[in-house]
Amino acid sequence: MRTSARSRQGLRPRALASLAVAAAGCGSVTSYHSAETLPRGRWHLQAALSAGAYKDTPQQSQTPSAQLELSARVGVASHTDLGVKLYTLGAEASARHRLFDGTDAGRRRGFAVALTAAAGGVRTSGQGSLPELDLLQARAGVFATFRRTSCLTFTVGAVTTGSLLVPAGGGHATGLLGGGVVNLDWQLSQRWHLVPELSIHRSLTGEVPVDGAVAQAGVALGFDL
Amino acid sequence: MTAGSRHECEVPGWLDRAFSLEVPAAWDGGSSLPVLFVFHGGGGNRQSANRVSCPDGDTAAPACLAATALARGYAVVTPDGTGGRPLRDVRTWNAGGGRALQCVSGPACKSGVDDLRYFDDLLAQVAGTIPVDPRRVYATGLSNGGAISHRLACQRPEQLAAIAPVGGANEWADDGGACDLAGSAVAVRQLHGSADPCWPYDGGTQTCLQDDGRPKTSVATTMEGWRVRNRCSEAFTERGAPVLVDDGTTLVIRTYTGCAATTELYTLQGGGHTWPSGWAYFGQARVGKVSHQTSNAELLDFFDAHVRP
Repeated sequence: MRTSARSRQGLRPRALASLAVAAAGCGSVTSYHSAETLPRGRWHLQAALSAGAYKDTPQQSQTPSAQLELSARVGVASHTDLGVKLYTLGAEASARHRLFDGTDAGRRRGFAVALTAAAGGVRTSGQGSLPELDLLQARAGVFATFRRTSCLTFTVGAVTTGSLLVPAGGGHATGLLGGGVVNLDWQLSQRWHLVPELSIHRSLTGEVPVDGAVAQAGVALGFDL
Repeated sequence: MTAGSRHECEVPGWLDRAFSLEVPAAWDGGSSLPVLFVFHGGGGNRQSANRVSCPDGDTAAPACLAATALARGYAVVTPDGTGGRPLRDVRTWNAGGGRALQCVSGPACKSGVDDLRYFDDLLAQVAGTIPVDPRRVYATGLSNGGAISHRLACQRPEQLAAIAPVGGANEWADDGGACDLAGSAVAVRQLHGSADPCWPYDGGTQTCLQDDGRPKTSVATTMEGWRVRNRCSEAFTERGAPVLVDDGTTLVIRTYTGCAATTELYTLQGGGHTWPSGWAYFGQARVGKVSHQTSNAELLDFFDAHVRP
């Protein structure tokens, strides 16, 4: 049975923007990095914009989302760097440790593998369209980077994200996502990088942030200090 | 609880299904209280449940439903429906449908939330907090909130003295859900705009939010169902109410006769998917006109007049 023109309109832009903000209390599933850790003392700053959707299978719903993030990383050892990320309504700290580096001395070709771990979360206040809740997240992953040229790398990663939701309205809920990330790091100049990324995650258990799947696509602009 | 206070309470065993409980300022702290449950609409939450009933959405207005009820000595309970995922404060009730009719209103219905058990636990929690007059428990709400009021009247007729759904019909029973009052009766006042774009007066697939392609039930089907359950005759009286405000709407009141409990329909001619004398929360272009031909005071008169024996 056909629906009315009103229902075919779908969501108007203002409603979409509101949903994007409201969905921003959902944690982070993005990476925008490779397996090539920063040298000791080197800083890297990054800004990224992502858009995607959350799909919940039992609720038969699909919700668009958007997220802005700002991050900083610093090399603390020859194969390890640390980072902090602020994203829409949340924050996260992370560590990256390079297990294997097969990159040539001229950094023109090569292969690297790193382990990553991150922890963070979101606290929303219940003001406006936001619920009153705490969302805690922990993430672990393994990334492999293929350096194609001195200016271009291709990275694939496998990531597991655990979440704990504690709403003010009582009870708590958990969720575990398993997924993959692919990105390119295109070095535009000596210091500037452009990193488009696609990540897709499925619920392994639980219902946080959804009981279904999450997909995010975006681009980051990075700067080596 | 102290007189005139408001508390935010959890319902144990339910994730993020809290409720607000307000008690009247004139309460002596010991007498049993009539209780009005106000269920939010689809996509709303317990904060919005009362706001849609307020002129221009001003929750400080004495004409709001909660303020009116508290002034009459009612305790007011506004609970939270099931949160969406990931939009946790976009909440819905499982008010039925999903077979031939639309599953209203979306996530809670589609995922099969047991909102009947939630209501049982909610009522128990309220009764454990304040002395509830079991003869005077009432339910109302807009849209999905109205529809869940119908469902609760179907499945808990011994606990509800009267319901007054606004802009929401009996999707539960009209799509085959159990609604055998087993000799009991529940007073029903259905309020519905004839120009409701979100829950069409004559039913159908037009909708404002979620859409699974199925139609919603009509007001006529719902009222016929209540006429039979409340053992009314087929005869009814119908009158046009005096125009209180020249807002382009009028009120027609149909009252069925010979009923075991009052069964009546308030048709707000020209009215939209809005609370009478309340708030056009998404703008008139989207939800239609607010009719000012009846009020929250008149709604409370209806509840005042119906006490379970």
